[in-house]
Amino acid sequence: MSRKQTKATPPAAARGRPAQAAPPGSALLKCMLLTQLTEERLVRLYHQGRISGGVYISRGQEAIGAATAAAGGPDDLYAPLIRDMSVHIGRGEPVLDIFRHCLGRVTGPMKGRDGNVHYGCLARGVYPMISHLGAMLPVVTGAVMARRRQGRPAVGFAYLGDGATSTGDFHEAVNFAAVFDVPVIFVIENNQFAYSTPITRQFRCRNLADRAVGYGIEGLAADGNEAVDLYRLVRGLVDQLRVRPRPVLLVCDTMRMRGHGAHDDFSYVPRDLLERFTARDPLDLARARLIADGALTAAEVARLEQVCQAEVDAACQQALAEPPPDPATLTEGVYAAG
Amino acid sequence: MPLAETTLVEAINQGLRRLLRERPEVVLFGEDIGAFGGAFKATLGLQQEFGEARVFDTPICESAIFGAAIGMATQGLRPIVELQFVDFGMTAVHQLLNNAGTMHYRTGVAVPMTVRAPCGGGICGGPFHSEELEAFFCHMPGVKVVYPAFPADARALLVSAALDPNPVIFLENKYLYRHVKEWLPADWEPIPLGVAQVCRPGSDAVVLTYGAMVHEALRAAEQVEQEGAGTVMVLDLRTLKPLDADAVLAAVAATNRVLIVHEGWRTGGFGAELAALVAERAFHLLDAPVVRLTAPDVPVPFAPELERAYRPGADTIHAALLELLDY
Amino acid sequence: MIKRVPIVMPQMGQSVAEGTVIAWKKNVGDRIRADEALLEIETDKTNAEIESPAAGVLAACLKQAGERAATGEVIGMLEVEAPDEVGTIPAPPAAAAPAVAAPVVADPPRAARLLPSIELPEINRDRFSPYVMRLAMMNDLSMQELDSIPGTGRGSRVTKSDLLHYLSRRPIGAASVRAEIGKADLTPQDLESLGRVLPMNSIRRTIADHLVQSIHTSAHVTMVHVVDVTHLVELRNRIKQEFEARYRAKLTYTGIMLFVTSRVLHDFPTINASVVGTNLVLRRDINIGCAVALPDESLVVPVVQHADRKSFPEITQDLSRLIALARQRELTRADVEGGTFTISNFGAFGSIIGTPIINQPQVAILGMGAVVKAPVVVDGQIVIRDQLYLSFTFDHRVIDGAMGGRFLDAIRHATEALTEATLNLQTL
Repeated sequence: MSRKQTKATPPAAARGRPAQAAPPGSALLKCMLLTQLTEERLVRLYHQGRISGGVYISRGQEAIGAATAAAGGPDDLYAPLIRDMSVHIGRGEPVLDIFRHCLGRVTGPMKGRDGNVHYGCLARGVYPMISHLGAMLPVVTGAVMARRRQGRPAVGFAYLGDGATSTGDFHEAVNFAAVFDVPVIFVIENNQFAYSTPITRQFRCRNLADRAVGYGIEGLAADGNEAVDLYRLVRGLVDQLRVRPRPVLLVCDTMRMRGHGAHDDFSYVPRDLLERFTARDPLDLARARLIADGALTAAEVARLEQVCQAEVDAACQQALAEPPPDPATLTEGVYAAG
Repeated sequence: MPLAETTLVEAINQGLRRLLRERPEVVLFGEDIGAFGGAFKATLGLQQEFGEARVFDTPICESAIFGAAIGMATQGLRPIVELQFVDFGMTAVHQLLNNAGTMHYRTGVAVPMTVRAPCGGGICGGPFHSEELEAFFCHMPGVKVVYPAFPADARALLVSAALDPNPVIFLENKYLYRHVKEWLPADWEPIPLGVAQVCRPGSDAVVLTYGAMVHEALRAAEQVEQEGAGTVMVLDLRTLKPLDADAVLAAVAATNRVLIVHEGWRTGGFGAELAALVAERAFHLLDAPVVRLTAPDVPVPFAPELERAYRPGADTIHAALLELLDY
Repeated sequence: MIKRVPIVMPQMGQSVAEGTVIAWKKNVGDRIRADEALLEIETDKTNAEIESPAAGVLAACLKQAGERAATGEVIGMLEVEAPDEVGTIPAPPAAAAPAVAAPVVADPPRAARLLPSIELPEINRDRFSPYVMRLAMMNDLSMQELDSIPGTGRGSRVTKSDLLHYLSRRPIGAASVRAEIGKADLTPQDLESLGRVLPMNSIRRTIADHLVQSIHTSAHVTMVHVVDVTHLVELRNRIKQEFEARYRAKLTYTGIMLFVTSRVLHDFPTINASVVGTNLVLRRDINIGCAVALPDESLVVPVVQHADRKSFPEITQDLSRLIALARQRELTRADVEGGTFTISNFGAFGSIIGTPIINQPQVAILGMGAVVKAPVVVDGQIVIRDQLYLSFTFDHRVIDGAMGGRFLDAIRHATEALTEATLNLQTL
């Protein structure tokens, strides 16, 4: 297959050290803030009985999505999973659309036909997930392959949790990507738990990145709560993969700071583990880092928070006023026309 | 004998407890079923009582879960595995269809495994947490399918399913888990698979149904009778495969008008099987065409307004009964 | 304008059906900000805080600490200021919050229940379902007969219940008998060769049909009691002339029995009843008909209306009048309608016991025989008494032998207790 190769290889990236370039810090922080505030509001709506079904939030994991979303180019493809609202927001999903979707409004991206975390925007290269964990991994792999055939040097981002690495579909997808040298970053968000099941019950390897050896690919381990560093790492990785296409396992260590869903009180999580990661809250780390680096002042941070809150409030109010789908449309669109 | 008010999920817990207690070869495994007690708490307390060697959690791997169950079942164990949602069973259906279902036919070796799966909608679960899928399992040779509607039946049938030497899919309606309760005695006996039950007598029409729709049909039949439009029998199939064909035919003989109700999809749904059976063997007893009331061929929608339009309920069953009785 | 916003028990988890209120964090009357915590709840799976859906005043706490509520049930009420809209009526001042728990989402209109209406094939009334054909075959129904059955199904088709209904009312053997008799090959000449042919007139045919219909409708059982009427015979002989002079009506045994029956029927409502379809109607009025034989051997049954309210003299007057009209063929419809019980006196022709046929839609008929002298054992001695046999035919579908016997017994007692005084008074 023909593909364009860039001549220059950023030296730092080849050795795994973060590249020097960084986006405006506020973009990363803004993405994470919008995620946190939107999810807070969604939980409240759920408690008020205004969201049906379930709500699954990513509190504690916002940095991973923000960093990886920012590191990709306009033509790259993403398949976010459950705890990846920051990927959606980072790739341009309006908060308004997220509210519309979760409230089941006909104006939402899935037109009320799917709910909670099952949304996306194919026009922007973001795949909506299905519930079967691992099922999206081979999908984004094939999508990236197709783009590359068209001469577009796309890179794929396939998200999964520690639990999904146990599925057969993960195995099949990674193996397949390896065999065909498909440049997909399998972003494994190791948040310590799959629902109530701790990682000690999920796999036997020392680190999930070790799995890579079995597939003949690279495995990297990173701190999932440090947005700025992670961004630099992934940006470098993306630049490499465009030049030398291949899949990579990127294991980001983090912690799910709430239950599996809003209905789960996660009492099975040991409290000391929770405390350890609370001290490493990704939003706190990002704020501190950006202020320390001089990218933002404390006042600018506070102002940014206000702006984000206002955006979330406005989006929520608007979405609440919009209509649900008309039952008369129930059977439309099961098949594509023509 | 004192009675206790028991929900469907509690009855299932009782059935599992009894199996673990009386049969050392029974083991339970699946996702989050150990200390956590399962996503719906069906296995609550079982690991604590019987230990981790007999009740344990697995990684997320339906194919490995089914595959391991087959291996264990051919080596003298009776594994009862739990799917967190029946929807996820479709990721590993090849293990049930091609492996568990054909083993005895090809080798003479039995596979006494049970797959328990929460199914059904009405809880705004969306497309992947609300499916019924009973028709897929009924289509597999070598596999049995059980689907109780009442707590008493759930525990009694579960024991029989586990003791059956064949692979059995045991469907548990998640809406009914906590929405249906019965006063049950502490002592009880298993009931055999393949026996349907008339849960409401009537002579002007019969509703052939199972699962959550049994309760919707009972409400509709009551309303029809209150209105003086006729008396409607409700036949709860309880086991889909093997089907109690005699009970179905006797019900048709007694009423001569048939309404089939299920919440799974229409085309190729289990109702199609029932309708064909009735047409084949009770043609001469029909005073009206056989009618099916099912969900349309549409993925289960999320928004409550859509799901309500999608899923059959007491009101649409009532309307269908009036149509049928008026024919 | 005040708008009422409900606070509902949320669904915390997919199979959760209810939750428990742990504690309210606010009191009724408190001003609440939007998203402020209102109360804490607990479900099987977890605890949660419920925040207010809007800014306003907490108007009601419908569930208290420790109380359970179903998912979707209203557990409290907020009053919220909403901008007035043109044409809307302001809500009434805060009254008691609705006590009935209702789901948050109102039932969608019928149109929203989109399941395809079952479409049963349109057929014309000539089509019979397999089961109807089977029933017809099993009961030897010809296609002509099947065609004659009125259908109540869609498009007037004959349904199973139509057919069963028809079969239950179908005269037994009628078709085959008719088929036998109505043989097309018997000409009027054939008939005359057998004997004198007397065509039945319409009255005769009507009477015949009624009688046959009655036999086929009711389950006829006749029970007989004997009444000692010696005292009545003596009484009648003594006062007959004076009675007729005073009341200008004959003092007959028929009149006496009619009088007695009208009183006794009060205690036997099932015998003073009519069968209509599958209903037994216990008639309020007691209207007793009296069978009158006419010279041309036809029969009419004029009715003494409200016999229970009439004195004995009035009854005899009524009877005399009706019989006279009957003989003159001047009875009106009103004179023969509304009967709830019938008495038939065939004793005039000398018969003592009979098996009268019930006058539909009534359920019983009292037949009277001739009054004759007979030897009777009284206190170990044989004495001569006047006896009247009562032949009581009743419909065994609705009256059993025990009741029949009790009725006759009551009649007998009442008759044997009659005195001159009781006959002249309004009541027995």
